[in-house]
Amino acid sequence: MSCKKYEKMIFLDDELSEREMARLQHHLRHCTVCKQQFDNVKNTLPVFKQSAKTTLDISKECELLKHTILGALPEQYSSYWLDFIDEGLQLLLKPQAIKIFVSLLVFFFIGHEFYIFNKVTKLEQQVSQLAAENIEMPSEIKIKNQLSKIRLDGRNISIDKLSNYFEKQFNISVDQPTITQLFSTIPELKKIEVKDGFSDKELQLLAKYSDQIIKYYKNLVSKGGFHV
Amino acid sequence: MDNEKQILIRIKQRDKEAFGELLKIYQKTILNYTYSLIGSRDDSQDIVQEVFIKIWTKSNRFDLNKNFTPWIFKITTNLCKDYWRSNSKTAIRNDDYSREKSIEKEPSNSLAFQESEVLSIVNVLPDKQKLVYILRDLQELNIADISSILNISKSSVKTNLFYARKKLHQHLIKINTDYHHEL
Repeated sequence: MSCKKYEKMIFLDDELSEREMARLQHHLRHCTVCKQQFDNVKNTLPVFKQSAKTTLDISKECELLKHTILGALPEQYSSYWLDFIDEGLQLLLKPQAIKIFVSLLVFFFIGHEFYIFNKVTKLEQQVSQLAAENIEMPSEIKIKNQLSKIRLDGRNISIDKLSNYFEKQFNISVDQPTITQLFSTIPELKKIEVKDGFSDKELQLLAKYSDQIIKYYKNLVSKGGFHV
Repeated sequence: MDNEKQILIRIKQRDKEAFGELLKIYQKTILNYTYSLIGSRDDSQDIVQEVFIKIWTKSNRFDLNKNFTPWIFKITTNLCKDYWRSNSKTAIRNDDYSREKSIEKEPSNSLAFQESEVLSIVNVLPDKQKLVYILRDLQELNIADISSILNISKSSVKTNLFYARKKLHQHLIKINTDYHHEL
């Protein structure tokens, strides 16, 4: 054992077992540095301890305090539930609890971003693989890929972005009423409200029914009446 | 200890006389402990009053098979920690301290300290080390009780005690050296 390890034993000599104490004593007989340190500690800490015990004794002031306490005793026990709520609130407001809560929030945010990034990367890989093999990309993957990109860049897909998407993808221009009418033709999409943003679940539905959306859209265009 | 148990049984039955006996046993210890942690006589008395009223109102929840000492020290420690928090976490900040600080130190013995000096020396320790040091060396509680009061493991108590004593020792050596330089 090195002298560094005996340092702890020197400061905690009153906490040692008999065996540890014997080992320390044996070491002190052979190591002058540790012996000097041991003697130094014995010349300071016990003196300070005694001094502290004497100077910090303010027990003379107790008699009056006793009467004050006895006079202030309430008749009832404290309510268990009120104490429980009070302790719970105190625990939640502790700095550590707030730190843990903020860490969890950050952790979930990073996790969520990583999940989206991972999903998009996989889609991109799928798209590039299909492109490399010269296989025509299924429209569902196309839409998913495009929607994910819009989602990732803008954080939220909007009706404008969806219109742009249709314009870029199929060279057609659509406005909000057109999209509303498109959605109304597919029973599963009827519940989607055309608004500024779509939820993840709605985007999934759009991707799932992308083939039908395109088909119905083409039908509508062929019948005329929409701005192309 | 059996006598203490009898007193606690009577307190559970709302016997104020028994509570007076409990006060007699513990109030000096708790007052000194509180004072060593917060360093203000007036606030120490307020905290001690709060401790004993809590004990009285929560006595129905005390398990008689358990040791009473760690329970009362735990309540006191938690109230002192609340006091630290509400007083910007500076443990020693009081009228007595500032008043005594202005009094010059008597150069009779380099290691004989005044109250304010003792408080400021103990205050060089971080909170956890200070609590462990005061509970072990000044209140002379055992490691197991300290571990239950502070909700930390026994080995953590020992580690904190080691660092507390080491830091105090180094600080005292420095004070001693400075004192001899001044002479």
